[in-house]
Amino acid sequence: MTQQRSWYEVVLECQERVARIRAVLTTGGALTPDLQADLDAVILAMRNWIFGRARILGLDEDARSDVLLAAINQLHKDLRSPGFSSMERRFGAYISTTVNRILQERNNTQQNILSPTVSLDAPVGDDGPPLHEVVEDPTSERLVEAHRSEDERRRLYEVIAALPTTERIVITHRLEGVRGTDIAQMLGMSPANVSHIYNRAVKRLRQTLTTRESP
Amino acid sequence: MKDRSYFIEAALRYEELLESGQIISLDAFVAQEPPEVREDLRAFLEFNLTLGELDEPAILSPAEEAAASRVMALARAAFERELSGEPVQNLTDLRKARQVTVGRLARQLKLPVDLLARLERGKVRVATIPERLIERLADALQTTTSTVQAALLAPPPVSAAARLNAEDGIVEPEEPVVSFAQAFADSAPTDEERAAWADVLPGA
Repeated sequence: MTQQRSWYEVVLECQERVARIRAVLTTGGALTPDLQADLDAVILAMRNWIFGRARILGLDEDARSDVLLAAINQLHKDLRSPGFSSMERRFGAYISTTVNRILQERNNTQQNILSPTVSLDAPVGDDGPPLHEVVEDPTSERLVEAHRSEDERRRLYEVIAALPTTERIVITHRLEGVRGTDIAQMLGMSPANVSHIYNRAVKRLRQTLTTRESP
Repeated sequence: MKDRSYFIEAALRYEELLESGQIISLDAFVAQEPPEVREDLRAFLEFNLTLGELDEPAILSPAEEAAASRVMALARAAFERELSGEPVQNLTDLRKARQVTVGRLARQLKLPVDLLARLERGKVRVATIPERLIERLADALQTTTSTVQAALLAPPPVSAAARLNAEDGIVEPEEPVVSFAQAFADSAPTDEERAAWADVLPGA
């Protein structure tokens, strides 16, 4: 029986492959068949995530291919750059950031995908209420309330600790009673964008906790 | 102007600061960066934080699988060529090396000449170019498909008009980059050309 690997495991595997490739390419070495296989595996792992992100943002099929091509070309460039060692330590963040930059560049020229500032009138999820109605949503407090026992609470905080940095910061501050608008001010972001991050974090927490808690 | 790598690296630096427990606002962070990039960088950092990490992987449709494979083959060919240290030739270079005119090559490929010229100008989205055209270009130019793939991603030649405009300070609207299907439709193909490409461009 095959077990589906998590994004985290896939990223770690890609990171190891990237470190092997960079060790050779940044010192003027050649791409051996083994390293080419590593590179192919990294790109193969990335492509479905990239297509997924581009699809969510409503890009058409041709545009998704453009984003994938730009991301692969950028990866090829950065693999040879001696100064880009962060991709060996934080490959998931590197790929996400690269794709987000490509999307923003498209946005700047075409204005056809998600605006950098999310509208407060935009629905949460596919058919949720407008964002302004959930800006100070107490879901995270309810999650803590639902995890009363020490064991359950520890599990909740373990899951929070594994969240991406920004989501963790936003959720942790909200649990400490800091208002969304104050977090927005602290980070210098719009309150709507902070709400967007918060909602994504809550969704991720729910998914992880449900998966872990189901028998 | 800073390139894409700069923005990616700056965003990773900012996230590392947050991760280390230093909650620094976007404004305070960008204030340490070169003045000419601050506005763009700030907008990007907020955009990046808002979009966040990549979501769950998508299950690709057969058409998307095919498109992704085409893109990966293109990028791989270009990368191999770059690493080999051989000079990168664009499509115009390849054609001229075979001493073939655009018109003759277009007739050989059963493509509208305008479309081939547009391809050579780099104004057709490379990811949308059918594999069959790459194979036929390779046949016609007596080279490998990977050489053609690398050529399609190589920088196009600078046109005489663009050089003159640059010297005279004239700014003309940039020609849009369109899909292969769009470029085919725009170039008013003959019935024979339509028939020749009907299987890859059903609606053309």
